[in-house]
Amino acid sequence: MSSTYTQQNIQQIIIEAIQEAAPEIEQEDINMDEDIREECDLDSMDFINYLIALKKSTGVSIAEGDYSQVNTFNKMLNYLSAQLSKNPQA
Amino acid sequence: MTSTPSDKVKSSVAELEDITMPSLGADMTEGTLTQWLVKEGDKVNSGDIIAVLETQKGAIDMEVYSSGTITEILVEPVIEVPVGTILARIALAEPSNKIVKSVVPAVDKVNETSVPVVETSPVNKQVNVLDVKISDVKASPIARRLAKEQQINLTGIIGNGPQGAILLNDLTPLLTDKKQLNSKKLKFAGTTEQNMRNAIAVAMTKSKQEIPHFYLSVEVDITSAQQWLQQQNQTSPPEDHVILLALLLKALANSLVKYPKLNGFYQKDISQSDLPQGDHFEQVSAIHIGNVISLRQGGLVVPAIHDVDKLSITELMQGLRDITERSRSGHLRSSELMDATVTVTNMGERGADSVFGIIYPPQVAILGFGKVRDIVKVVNDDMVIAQVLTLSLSADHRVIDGMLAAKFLNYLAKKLQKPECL
Amino acid sequence: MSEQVLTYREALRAGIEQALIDDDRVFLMGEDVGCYGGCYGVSKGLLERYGEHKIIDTPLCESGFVGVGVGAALGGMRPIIEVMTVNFSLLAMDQIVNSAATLRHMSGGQVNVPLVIRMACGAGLQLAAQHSHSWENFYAHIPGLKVLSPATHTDAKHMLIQALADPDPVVIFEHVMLLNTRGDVLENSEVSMEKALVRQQGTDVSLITYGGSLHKALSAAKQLKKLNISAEVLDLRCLRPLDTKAIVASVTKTHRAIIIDEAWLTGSLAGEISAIIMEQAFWHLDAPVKRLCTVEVPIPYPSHLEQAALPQVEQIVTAAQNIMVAR
Repeated sequence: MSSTYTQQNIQQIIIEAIQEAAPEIEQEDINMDEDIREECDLDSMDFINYLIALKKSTGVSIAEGDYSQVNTFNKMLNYLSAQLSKNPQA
Repeated sequence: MTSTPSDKVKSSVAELEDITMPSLGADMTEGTLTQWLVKEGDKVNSGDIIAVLETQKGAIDMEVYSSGTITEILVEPVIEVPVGTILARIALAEPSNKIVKSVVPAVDKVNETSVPVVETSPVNKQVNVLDVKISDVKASPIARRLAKEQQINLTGIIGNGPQGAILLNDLTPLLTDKKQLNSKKLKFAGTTEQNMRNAIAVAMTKSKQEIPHFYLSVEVDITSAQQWLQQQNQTSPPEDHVILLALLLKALANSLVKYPKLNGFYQKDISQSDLPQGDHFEQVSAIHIGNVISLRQGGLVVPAIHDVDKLSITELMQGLRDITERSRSGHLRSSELMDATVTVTNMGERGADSVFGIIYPPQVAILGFGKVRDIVKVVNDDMVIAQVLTLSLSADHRVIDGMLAAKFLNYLAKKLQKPECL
Repeated sequence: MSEQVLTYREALRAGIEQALIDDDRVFLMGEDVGCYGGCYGVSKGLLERYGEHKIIDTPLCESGFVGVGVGAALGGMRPIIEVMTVNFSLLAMDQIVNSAATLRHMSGGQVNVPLVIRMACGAGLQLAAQHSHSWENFYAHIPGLKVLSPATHTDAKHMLIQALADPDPVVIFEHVMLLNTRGDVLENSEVSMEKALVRQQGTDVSLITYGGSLHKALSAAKQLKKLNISAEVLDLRCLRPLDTKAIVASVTKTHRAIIIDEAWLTGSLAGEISAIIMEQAFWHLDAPVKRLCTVEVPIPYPSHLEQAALPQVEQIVTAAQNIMVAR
């Protein structure tokens, strides 16, 4: 993976992570500003699997203290962009 | 009969065992073999995954339960067969010390272009009817004879007779399927959802009709559990996160150790009289908790996490993550769908205040977890905000009385007050 | 085939009369069969019509007059010996078992004993523990005898004639509860005396029975039909030799069997039939064989206790429901 991320490919990474937990979800199914767990019908186990998938692909580890900052698709996008520009994965 | 199990074990010829399409729950009637992961001559160990199945419950990794050498592969993918159909044979590495399983006549090999397995003629293996008789499966004589004639292995079929004996009628659906096999050799999703709906309907109706359910619930304060979880998860990476369900399962397992009457199987029995006085509860020492997982495409699976009482919270979390992921993606293991001793349904996740489940026979209890809610509670004359959830229990009154059930629920609630001790 | 409606008693009498008319060697002998018309009224009027040399009253001595019957049969006659009840037949058992049943064998086939012995059996008339038993199995145990149990009116008439045609001793059991019942009597017998007959076709469970229990099995089958259980009723008719083919055929069809037998359970014919099913129809069974027999007490005198001791229709219905429960 390249060390620089565009908004575009971060979006793609998020979609793929969601699909790990919820394979049938497509981007157009998701309202970007609504609660992601409700949008994609993720239970708490699915949500953790989603975060683990993101960690695998981006190296960003999201702790529970930060959950409020990642609870919609757009918030996750911003959070990851910020984290990755701060500390890009090698 | 002159042949006894011990005679068999002494035989120098390696003992053969049938590998059959497993029944992954009372609601499964057929499965599709999609891929072999072994070939003839391969050595396998008990627990190895040897094939991939497509079932009403999604893709399942099929395990082998004995160690030895695969001697014969009798059906080739992709083929849909009834539960109990012999798929392959294994020559056991060591003679089993259980009563010898029957080896009923094999069928000719089938490849994709030939007719399905059940329609072919038996090979010339002389098998005495008596061999069938010493199998440890309970089945009526006519069921055994039919199974032999139709190449159905009775192992794994759930019978409706006394002591769970397989009767003629338990085989009838399989026979109908077999007749239709030619025309429905390859058929997936189209009818799978309806099949699963029907299967759930049959299993749940039977449970509700046969099992005298009763229901209890307690509202349990989980404020301290939630605080403990928050501490654990505040800074930890997602793979180390612990969710409330893990605590609930762990507390449940510990409570079952104390109250083993809720953990096991209610077995039907035959008796001299016509009364069901021989029916009995078989307590199980292992605690395998079945978790109801709703499938995104509809329907549900109930994979078990094994030996929950012996797992640490971290291991339990791994187990939960693992079955959740595999329920979604396929690759549940056959054993996980077959051996739960008690079941949990967690409808709180989906917003329900409480849930009273239908017992999954032959189990005798199902626990329900409701939604976490904030309430105002009086503590030392002060009003405080507490988090609670409703813990509910559906129990089989043939085995469990209300007093015991209430004690059990309260014990479980108490366990949840000290999450650090779980 | 023309038919007439008679009581079972009249049908028995009609059989005896026909035998007396058809064959000059036939005579009826027993306690009270002449002047009194038979203890159960079977031979009423026969003395007047056929005379003292055909209808012979005997002293109260079963061993004596049954022995005379054996001798007469050896001498070329065709005696019909009436023993009042099966209970009293024990007094003649030596003649029946040691003489009648064995002489063909012991004489190396030189002589045979074409003797017919009729006796009343069964409970239900409040005749208490010395007149009410069902001991068909005692005689069905003995090689050399044939044992018949006519349960229908046609059999009541014709089995006697078939028995007289047999060269060997035949014992006929007449259930006392049947005597006053009315039924059709066909002009000819439906089938040879050694064949069992399916009286009601069915597919779910075989009710195997004989004699006084046949009508109970038939009413049970009627009730079961309403419960959506199709019961087949097999009338054994001949208890020695048993028509094993018919038993096996029925169980092969239904996969379930209930045997209704008014004898006591232990050592009963029901047990014998059950064993036949195990030996010859085991792989067709879908449920354990069930026996419904009389409670193991001497038949009680009080009516309610007598009825409680006997197999009843409700028990047959319940047993059939239970055997079908896991269908």
